[in-house]
Amino acid sequence: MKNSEYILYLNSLHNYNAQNQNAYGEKNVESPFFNDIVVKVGLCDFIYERLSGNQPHIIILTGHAGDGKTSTMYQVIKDLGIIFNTTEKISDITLPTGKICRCIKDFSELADEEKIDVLREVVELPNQDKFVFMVANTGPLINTYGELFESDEDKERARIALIDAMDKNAGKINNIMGHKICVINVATVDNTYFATEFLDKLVQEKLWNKCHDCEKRGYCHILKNRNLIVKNKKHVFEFINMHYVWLTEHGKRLTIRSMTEQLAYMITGGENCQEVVKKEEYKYLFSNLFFGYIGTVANLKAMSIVAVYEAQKCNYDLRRLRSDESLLVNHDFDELFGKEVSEILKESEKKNVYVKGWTEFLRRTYMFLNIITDEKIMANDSEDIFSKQFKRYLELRNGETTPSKLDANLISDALSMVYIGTTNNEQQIPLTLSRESGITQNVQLITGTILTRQLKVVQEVTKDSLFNKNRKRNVLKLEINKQVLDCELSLPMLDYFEELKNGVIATNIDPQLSHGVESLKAQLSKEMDDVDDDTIEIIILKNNGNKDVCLEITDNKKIREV
Amino acid sequence: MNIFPQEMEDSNEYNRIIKSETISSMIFGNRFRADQTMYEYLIEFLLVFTSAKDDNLQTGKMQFHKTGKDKRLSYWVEPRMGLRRFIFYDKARKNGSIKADEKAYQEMIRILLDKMEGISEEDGREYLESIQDLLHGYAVVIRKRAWCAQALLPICPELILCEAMPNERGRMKLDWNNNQENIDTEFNFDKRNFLSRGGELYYLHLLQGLEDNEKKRKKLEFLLNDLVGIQCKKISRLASFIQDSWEKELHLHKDKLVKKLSLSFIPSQGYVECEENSIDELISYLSCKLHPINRIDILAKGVILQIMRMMSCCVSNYLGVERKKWIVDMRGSSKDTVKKIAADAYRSIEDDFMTALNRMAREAGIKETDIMKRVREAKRDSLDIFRSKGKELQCIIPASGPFERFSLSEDVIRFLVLSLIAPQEKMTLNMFLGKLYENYGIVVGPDEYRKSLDDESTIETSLANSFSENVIYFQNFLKATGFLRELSDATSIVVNPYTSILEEADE
Repeated sequence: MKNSEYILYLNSLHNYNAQNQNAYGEKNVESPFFNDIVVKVGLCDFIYERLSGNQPHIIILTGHAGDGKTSTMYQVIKDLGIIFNTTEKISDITLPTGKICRCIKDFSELADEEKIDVLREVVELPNQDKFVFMVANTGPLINTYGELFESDEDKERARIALIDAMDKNAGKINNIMGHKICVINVATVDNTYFATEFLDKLVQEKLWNKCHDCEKRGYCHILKNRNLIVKNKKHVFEFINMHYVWLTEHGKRLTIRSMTEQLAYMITGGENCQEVVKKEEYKYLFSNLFFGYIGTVANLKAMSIVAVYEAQKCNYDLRRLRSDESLLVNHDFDELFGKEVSEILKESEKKNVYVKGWTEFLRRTYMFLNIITDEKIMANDSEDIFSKQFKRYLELRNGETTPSKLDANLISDALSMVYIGTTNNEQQIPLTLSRESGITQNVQLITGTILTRQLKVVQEVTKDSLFNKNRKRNVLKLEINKQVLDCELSLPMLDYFEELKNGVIATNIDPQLSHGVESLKAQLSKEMDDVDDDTIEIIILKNNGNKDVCLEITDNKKIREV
Repeated sequence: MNIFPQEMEDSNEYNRIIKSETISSMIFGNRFRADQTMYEYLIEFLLVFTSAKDDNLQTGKMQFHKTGKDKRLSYWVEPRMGLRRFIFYDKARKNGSIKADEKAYQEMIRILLDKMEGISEEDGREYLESIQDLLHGYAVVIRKRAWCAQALLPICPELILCEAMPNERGRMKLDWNNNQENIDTEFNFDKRNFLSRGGELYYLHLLQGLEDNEKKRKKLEFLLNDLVGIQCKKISRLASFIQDSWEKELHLHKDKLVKKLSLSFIPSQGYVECEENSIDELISYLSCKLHPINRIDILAKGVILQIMRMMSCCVSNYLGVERKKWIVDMRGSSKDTVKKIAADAYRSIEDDFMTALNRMAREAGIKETDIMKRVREAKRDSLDIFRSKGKELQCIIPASGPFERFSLSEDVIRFLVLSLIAPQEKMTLNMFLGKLYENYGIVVGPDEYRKSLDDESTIETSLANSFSENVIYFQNFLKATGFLRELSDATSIVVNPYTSILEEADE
C-alpha cells in the first residue's frame, strides 16, 4: 500500500464513490500530482500569445462545465510566470509586457448583481489599456451582457452579437457593441486527443514505482490494469481514441472531466489500496471497467459516471465480429492475446463459459487487448465494431490521406438512391422534384443533373488548428463543379449513404440524418437546378430499369422528343 | 358587428348571413367549415392570391387585393377542367360514368397525341401516361371524391385549382357530339363545399394586416411569387400546354370558362391581435430556401397552425378575455403534472369556444328551441375544426382518448423555427421559448408557465422541475431535427440554417 496516496488521488477524479473533489479544476490544481498528470492544451499557447500582444481586449473562455476552462486559465498564468492566488475570485495581474490584466476565475460564481457591476467595469478596461481574462459559463454571460444596455432592442442585439461570436468561435477580437471581445468557446474545439495523452500520463512509471514494493502487488487489480495498459499501449490508445471520436461524431461529445473520470475509474474500479483483496482476475480488467462491467455483469453503480454510461450504451460488445470464430468458437486465446491475458481468460473460462454475458466479456477484452497485427483483420474489426466508413472517415478527418474517387462514388450512389431509388450506373445523377410523402411517384420531373465526374469530396480544415497549433482536423464537404456546398458530410451521414448504396432502406431514419440529407438536397437544388432550360425531362421508374424521356414544347405548340 | 372589408356591410350576402343566424360565421367571419381539408386551406389562399382581381382577367394576378375601392373584393378563377380531366379522370373512381366526360377524356388524349411530332403512337401514349403519372403524383386530396373535386399540391399557378362539384343532372344531359362548348362549364363552381372559404378567411386576415404596410405587402407578394411562380416552372409550362391545347382545339373561350368568385368577410377586430405576427412569420418562413416541395408541404401545416391561433384570438377577443395559453406537453405518454396542467389548459380553451358560441346564440336572438341545434352546428364549424386540424398536425394529442392537450410535432416545430427566426439567424433556446410564448402563447418551460399565471407568483419547485424536463424534451427534439446547437451545457442556440431568398434576390 505504498502508493495509496496516488490511488486515492485517482479515485478523487471520478464520482463513483461520490468523492470527486479533484474533478474540479480549481481543486485539482492544488494537488501535488497535478503537475505530473496535467495535459497541456494548445489553447494555452493561443491565449498566452494574445496576452503577450499589445492590443488590450477581453478574452472570454467559455464552454461546457468540465471542459478544462479553469485549468487552462491557471496553466496560462503559470506559463506567464505569475503566481496566482487561487482563492481570489477576481484579481489583477501584471503581464510580462507590463500591462495589467484582470483575471476573473469564474464569472458564473458571482452573485447576480455583482455580475452586472463586474461586467460593466470589465468592458471599459480595454479602453484603459488593460486586458481582461475571464472564465464564464455561457448562459449567465449572455444574460448579464444584455443587461448592460438600456433598451430591450439593444439588449437583444447585444446578446445575439455575443452568441454569434461564440458560435463562430473564430479566435478573433470582435467589436461587439463597441467592446473589444475575443470569445473562445472550448465546447466547439475537438478534445478527443486529450484522452490518450492523459492516460499516458496516468500510467507513467514515475507514479507507479512505489507499487513494486507493495505486499499486494501479486494480486492488485489496479497495478495489473496499469501494467496491461502499458504493455498494450498502442492498441488500447487506438481503441480509446476511436471510441471518443465515435461518440463525438454521433453528437455525444464528452467533456474533459467526463473522460478524466472514466479513465481514472477504469484503472482503479473505484477501490483504494486498502480495499484491494484477492479476487478473480478477469472481473476487474480495465476493459470491463471502461464499459461499467464487473466480469460478466453490468455494474449499475458505475452508471453514475457519464462517460461509462455512454460507453455502455454504444453496445459494441453485442456486435458480431468476423473474429468471433477464432475468439468464441476456436478459443484461439494464445494467438489473439498476450500470454498474461490468455492465462486469465483460460482460467476464468473454466467457470464461466456458459454464463450469460461471457461472449460479450470476451469481445470487450478482445477490443482492448488483442495483439493482432494482420491489417486485414484489424480493418474488419474496426468495420464490425464501429462502421464500414469509420476508419476511412478517421483518416480523412485527421488529414492522414486525401479523399479519392471512391469517396465521391459513395456519395453519387447514395444521391442517386435518394433521387430516383436506384444506384447510379450512368455518368450523371438526375435531380428530381419528388415528394417525400403521399403517393409514390413512379414518374418524376428532372430539374437538373449532376455529372458524376464533377462530384468530389473535399476536406476543409476546422478552426481547431487555430487554438491547437499542432492539431489539424478536417471536416468533409461535397464539391460539385468546383463549388463547395455548405453542408458537412458527417460520419452518420456517410454510414447512412453506405447503407443506402447497399439497398438498405430505413423507413424511420434518425431526424438528424433526415435533416442532413434534406439540407443537402436544398443546397443541390439551389446550385444545380436549371430552370431556364426549356425542355421537360422526366424519368420513368420501372422494374426493368429507368427510362429517361426528354420532351420539348415547340413554338408551334407541338411536343417533340429531344 | 364590425367587419372587414367594410364594403361588405351593405351587401346582400352579409345580410343573408346575419339573417340566417349562422353563429360561427358571426364570430369567426364567413366561414370555416368542417369539410375543408388541411391542404385546401393553403390551396384556397393561394388561389385567391394568384387569380386575376379584375374581369379583364389579367390585373391583380399574383397580388393582394387593393382594398378601399368601395366594391366587393372578387377574383376570377380559371377552372382548367381539361387539365383536371387529363390528370384525374382515368384514375378516379367513377359512379355511373358520364358519357360526355368519357368522350371528352378520349378527345383530350387524341388532341395531345396529335401534338406529338416525330413520335410513334405507341411511344406517344406511353409519354402521355407518364405525364399523367407525373402530375398525379402531386395529388393531395383524392378521398372518395369525383375526379373534378380532387386537388393537387399547389406548386405552380396552373395546379392551384378552384372547387368544381359535379353537377350530375346537368352533365347527364350533355351531348358531346352537338354541344362541346358546355362540357367544361356544367359544374358547380360556387358550392363552397371543399374550398369553403377557410383559406379566404386567412387571406382576408393577411390583407387586413397589409392594408397600411406597403413594404411588407411587396415583400410577401415577392415571396409568394417565388413560391408558386418560380420553383416549378417546368410543371407550370407543361400544365398550361395541356390546358391551352384543349381550349384551342375545342374552340373554348377563356372568358366563358372563367368564374368570378367573391370574398366574404372577417370580424374587423377578431384577428387584429395576431395579424402582424402572421405576416412576419409568413415572410420569414417563405424567405427560407428549402427544397420547393418541402417548402409547400410544411407551409400547408404552418397555415393551419396560424389559423388555429386566429380562432383562439377571435374567441378571446369576442369574450373580451385574455387569450388562453397553449401549454404543450412534449413528453407524450408521461403521467406527469405537466400532462395534467396541459390537459386542463386545453379544456379551458374548449370551454372558451363554447362560451363564445353560446353567448353569440343569445345575442343573435336565436329562438330558445333552436339554440341547441344552432350551437351544435357552430361547434362543428369552429371548435371541431380547431380540434381535428390540431390532431392532424399532431399538435393536439392524443389522436383519440382522454386528456387532450397541446404538443408539438416535427413539421410544426420546423415551421415554428423557420417562421420565428429569420434565415441564417440564431437565438438562444430561452429566447426562442420566449418568442413562442409571445407569438403563439405556447408554454414549454417553467418561466413561461409562471408568466402565464395571473399573479406571476413563483411556482413550486417540483412543478418547475416538471416544466424544466419538458424543456429538455423539447430541446432534444430540436437537436434531433438539426435546429439546435449546444454552445455549452447551460446554453443552446436555435438556428435557422437556410439561406434567404430575399437576400439572394437583392444580390
